[in-house]
Amino acid sequence: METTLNINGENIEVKIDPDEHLLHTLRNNGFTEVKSGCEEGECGACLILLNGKSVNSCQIFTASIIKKDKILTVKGIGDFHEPHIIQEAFVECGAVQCGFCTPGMVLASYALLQSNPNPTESQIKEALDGNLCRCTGYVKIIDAVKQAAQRLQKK
Amino acid sequence: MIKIQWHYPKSLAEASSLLEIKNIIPHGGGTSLINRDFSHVVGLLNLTELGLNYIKQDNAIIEIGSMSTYADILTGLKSISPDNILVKSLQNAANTPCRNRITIGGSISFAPKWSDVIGALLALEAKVVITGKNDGEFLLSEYLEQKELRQQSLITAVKFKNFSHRSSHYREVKTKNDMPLFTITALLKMDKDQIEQAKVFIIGTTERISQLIELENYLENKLRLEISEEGIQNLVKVSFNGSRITDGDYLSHKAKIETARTIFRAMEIS
Repeated sequence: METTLNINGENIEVKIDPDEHLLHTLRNNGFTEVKSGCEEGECGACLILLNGKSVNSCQIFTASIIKKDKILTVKGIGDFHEPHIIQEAFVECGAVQCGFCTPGMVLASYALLQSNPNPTESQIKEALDGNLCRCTGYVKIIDAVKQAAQRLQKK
Repeated sequence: MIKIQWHYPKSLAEASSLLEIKNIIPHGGGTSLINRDFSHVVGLLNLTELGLNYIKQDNAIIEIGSMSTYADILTGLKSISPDNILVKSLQNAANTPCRNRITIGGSISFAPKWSDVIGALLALEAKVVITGKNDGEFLLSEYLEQKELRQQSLITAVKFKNFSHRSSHYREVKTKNDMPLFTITALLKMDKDQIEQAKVFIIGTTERISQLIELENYLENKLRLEISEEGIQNLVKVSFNGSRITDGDYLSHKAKIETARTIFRAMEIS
């Protein structure tokens, strides 16, 4: 079947199987910043924002996405040349090691800071509770979210 | 290649007529369908555009649209009924991205053994509103028992009274992100120090859903000082199937201890 997805502000025509998962549609169409991890909704590597809310793309049928839905991947908020403040903070705080969890972590942080510009540490932990990192031990990731929150408020 | 067809109804009437076709399944958030065997399924009914994402209160009856996600319910219910047992049961369920996707309608129709919401909704004596072959309002307990109510029908809403009873919810997990091995829900209507009415449910037992009626009878009309942990534990008579990660007898023992703790927490006795 054919469908139109709005990804990072652009409408993209894609061919999909009726039972295809959004994670695979995104990766098969070049959005490889969306990582494939557990595929069980546990690790958050495939996290995207759907209408501003963090969701695991491995837990969504592509065909369930309707025309007015807006998908945001981590490249939609900033890239290597023009990074978002959150992405800069992750680099500066040493919150990136292998980098596999980073797209999901950054997007979960972005969703949090959009709705709550000045989160407490426990609110940060709750917002990131669906994102697993096997490298950093989370301390530097939480530092990065705090730093990004401060900088975004000054902006 | 799987030959399922997706349908995108714009009204409940359209959805109902599509449900007349056999083996069409309603799709809410999709999290319980994602790894399902679709060999007998001919179609999926996307409920996104039916306006079923709402929470409202009318004459002390709270109504939640079936497409409301756990996150929507937590936000909406906290403002109208912050101490509600459903808030307590949902706030530790799953993780943030899953809470943003799992719908209450899907959770009720799937009703897995690890459900965090079924115990709370049963304790609240919730009713489900369904449309399709079986139009009407039914007690959740009836809906769960009568398989035929689920056939060619979809849940449009869940309703319950806005109780201000004392309550507590416990989930047995190894780590926070786990699906619970069992959950305990206790809802107590108290007049000062006396329990007037008690509802205690354990979800995840061998019977899947266990209402501890003997224990409820023991608790009712008692002053809290008359209630002992031992008295509660003696009346928790539930069994569990073992699994790869745990033993059924251990879970039975754990359920006794945690039920007593849950009830004492609900009574606000430390």
